[in-house]
Amino acid sequence: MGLVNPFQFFWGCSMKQVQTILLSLLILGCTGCSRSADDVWNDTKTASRHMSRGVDSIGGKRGTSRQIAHQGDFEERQRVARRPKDFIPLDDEEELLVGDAEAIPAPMESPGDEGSSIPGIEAFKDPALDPDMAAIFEHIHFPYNSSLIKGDDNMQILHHIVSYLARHPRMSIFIEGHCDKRGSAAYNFALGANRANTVRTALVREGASPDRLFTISYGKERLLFDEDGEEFHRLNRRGQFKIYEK
Amino acid sequence: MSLDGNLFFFSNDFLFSTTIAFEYAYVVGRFLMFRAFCLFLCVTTHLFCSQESEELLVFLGKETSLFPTYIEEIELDASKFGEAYTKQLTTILSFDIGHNGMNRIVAEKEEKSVQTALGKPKFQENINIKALQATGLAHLIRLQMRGSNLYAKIIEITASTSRNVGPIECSGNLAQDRRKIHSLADRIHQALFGKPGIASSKILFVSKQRLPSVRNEPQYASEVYEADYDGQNCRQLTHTNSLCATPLWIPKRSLSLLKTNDHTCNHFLYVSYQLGQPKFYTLSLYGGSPKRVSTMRGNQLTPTISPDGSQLAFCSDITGTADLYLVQFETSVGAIGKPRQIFHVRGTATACPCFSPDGKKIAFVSNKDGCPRVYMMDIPKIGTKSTDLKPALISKKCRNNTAPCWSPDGKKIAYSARNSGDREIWVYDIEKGSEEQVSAGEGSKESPSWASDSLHLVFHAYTSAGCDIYMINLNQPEPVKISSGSGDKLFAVWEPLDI
Repeated sequence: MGLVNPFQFFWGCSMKQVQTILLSLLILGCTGCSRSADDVWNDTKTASRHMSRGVDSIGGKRGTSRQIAHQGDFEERQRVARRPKDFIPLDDEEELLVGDAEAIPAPMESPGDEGSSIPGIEAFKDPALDPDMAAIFEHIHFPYNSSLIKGDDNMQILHHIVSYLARHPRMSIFIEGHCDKRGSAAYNFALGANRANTVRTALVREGASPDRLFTISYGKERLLFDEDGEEFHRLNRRGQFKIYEK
Repeated sequence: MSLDGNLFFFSNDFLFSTTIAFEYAYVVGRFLMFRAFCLFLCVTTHLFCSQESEELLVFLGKETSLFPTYIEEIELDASKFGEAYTKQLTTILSFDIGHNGMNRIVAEKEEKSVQTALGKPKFQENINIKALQATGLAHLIRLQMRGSNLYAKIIEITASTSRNVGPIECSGNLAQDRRKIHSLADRIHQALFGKPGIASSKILFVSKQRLPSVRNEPQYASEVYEADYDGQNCRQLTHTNSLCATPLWIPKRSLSLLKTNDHTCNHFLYVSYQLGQPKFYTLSLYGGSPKRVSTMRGNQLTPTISPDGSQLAFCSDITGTADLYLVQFETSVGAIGKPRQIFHVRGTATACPCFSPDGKKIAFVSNKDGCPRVYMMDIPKIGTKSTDLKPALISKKCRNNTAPCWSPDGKKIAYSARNSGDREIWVYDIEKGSEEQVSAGEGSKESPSWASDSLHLVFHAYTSAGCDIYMINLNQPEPVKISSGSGDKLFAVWEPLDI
C-alpha cells in the first residue's frame, strides 16, 4: 500500500466525498476569514460576472438579447434610436437598432434651456404641498446600492402616477434620484441618475410619454434625514417628484 | 471491494483478513488525510485571510523619516511690526514647513535641547553647529524682520551649510502676508530639496449650507469657494442660490495657448443645479458671468479636465444610464463638437473619470461587476464597440471604491475605499500594481485630490461634527483639518502648478 499519492487521493474519492470536500471548501470560503457576508457576496458577484463575460466572449456571445413586449414596442425603440443624437455613441449596431430595454434616452427638450417649452426647476412644484397630489406622487424607495424598483407599494405608486398623467396630458415631471449617506458623494451622483432613470423607464413602460419625464440626480446632496439608522437610510434612498402643468 | 487488486493473488483467510485490515487502515488513513487536508486548507485560508486583513488595516506612519526642523521666532531689528504680529507669521511658516511632507517641526521635548544647544545668537552671528548636531536636528530656520522685510537663513546642520532666502516684503495685512509666507516656505523647500513646495497653491471646494425646511423637507444651497491650501483666505466664487458640486481648476497651460493676459487664464469649471438638471459652467476667478459648457441634454456630472486642458470627460445619463463621455474643450468656447460616449455597460452606474497626466488613459468608477470599483483603460478611439473596451480592475482589496484621482507624476491613483467602518484614502501604485491605505484617523474620507508634488492630498471627511476638508501627505498620514466655519465643506481640488 505505502503512502497514498495525494493526486490518487482525490481520484479515489467517491462522488459523495467529492461533494463533501467541495462543500467544505465553500463553507471555508464563506466563513474562513474576516469578510462579512456582503463582502463575500460582492466578491463572488465580481468574479462570476468577470468569468461569465469571459466565457461569453469565447463563444462570441454578447448577452444582449432583450425582451420586446410587442411590435409597437420594437418600433418605438427604433424611432427613439434613430432620433438625431447630441452625442456620438459607441459603435454598437444592436444598441442603435433596438435601443436599450433597460433605459430610455433623455427627452429631446432640456428644461430651462433657451428655446425649450419646459421651464427650469423654479417653475416646478413640490406635490407634497397639496395633500391630494401628495397622495399620488409618493416617494419610490430603493434597496441599498441599487437602482432596482422592488415591491408592490412602489409599483402601486407608479400606477397612480401614470393614471394621473393620463388625465393631465400637459403635465411634466422632474424625477429626482436620491441616495442615502453611506455611499460616496461623487459615486452617488451616478447612482442617483440611474435611480431617477429607472423610475422614468418604469413610468414609460406603464404608458407615460417619455418626453414629459425629466430626471435629476441629487446623489446624497439632499438627504431627508441626516441621522444614522437603517430606516433613515431607506427613506433617504428615494425617487421623488416635482411637477409642472402648462 | 479492494482498492489494491494485487492482494487478491493470495486468497487464503489470513491474507483475506490482512486485506480487510489494510483496507480499513487505508480507509481510516484516507479519512484522516482528508481531515488533515481540510485542516490544512482551513489553516492556509485563515493565514491567507489574516494576512490580507493585516494588510487592509495597516496605515503609513513615516513621520520618523522626516527631517527634524526648528524654526526660531522672528528676530526684530527696527521692525515695522510688533512681536504679536510676527509671531503669527512664524506660526504660518511653521505650519507650511511642518506639513511639507519632508520636514517635521521638532516636538516640545526636542525643542528644549535644541534651544539649549543653540543659545541666543543674533541673526547675523555664527551658531554652534556641533552642539546642534548632537541634538539630531537636521534643519534650522532663522528669521529676522528688518523694517518691513523678512529675511530667512536656512542652516543644514548635518552638512554644516547655510543659505539665505528672501527677503520678502510684508505689508502688515495678514491675508496678504500669509500668501507671502507661503511663497517663502516654497522657496525654503526649493533651497532644501531642489524643487518648490506646494504652500503657494490654492484649493477650490464647495460649501453646503442647510436652509430652513419646507414642510419638514430640509433645503440646501451650496456654492464654490477658493482658499489657500491651508484653508485660509477663503473667498466665495459662485452665487447660484442652488446646489453646486465638483469644481475643477481649468489648467493654465491650455489657456496660455490663447495668448491672453494672465487674469483671463484663471477659470474654473463646476456643476450647477440652477436649471434643475446638473449642468457644467465655467467662471473666472475674478468674477463675471458663468458660461454654460455644453447644451447636451440630461444630467451632466463628475467632470474632469485633462492636464493639458484640451479634453473634458464626464458622466451623463442621456441614454438613460450613467455612462462616460469625452468632448474637446476650450475655456473660451466650452465643449467643441459633440461629446462621444467612451464607456457604457447596460444598467450600470459609471462615474468619476480622471485623466492620466498624458491624457491617454482614464480611471473611473463602475458598478458593472457588483459594488463600485475603480477601473483604468485607454481612451477608446472613435468607432470602438463597447464590447472592445477592456478596462482593468485596479481596486481589488476593498469594496465600495470611488473617486479616483491620478497623481501628476502619473505613478499613482488615489481613491476612496471602505474596508470596514470608515472610508479611507487608498493609493494604487501603477508600476507595482499594489494598493496601500494612506490615511488614518477619524471620519469617512472621500474625493481625494493630489497636489502638484504628487505627495499631498486633500479630501473631505464626514465626522460626527459634520463634513470638513482635510489634508495629508504620503509621509504624514494623520489628517489635518483645513476648513472652518459652518456648513459642510466638500469636493476640494488642488490647484495644478508646474513644478
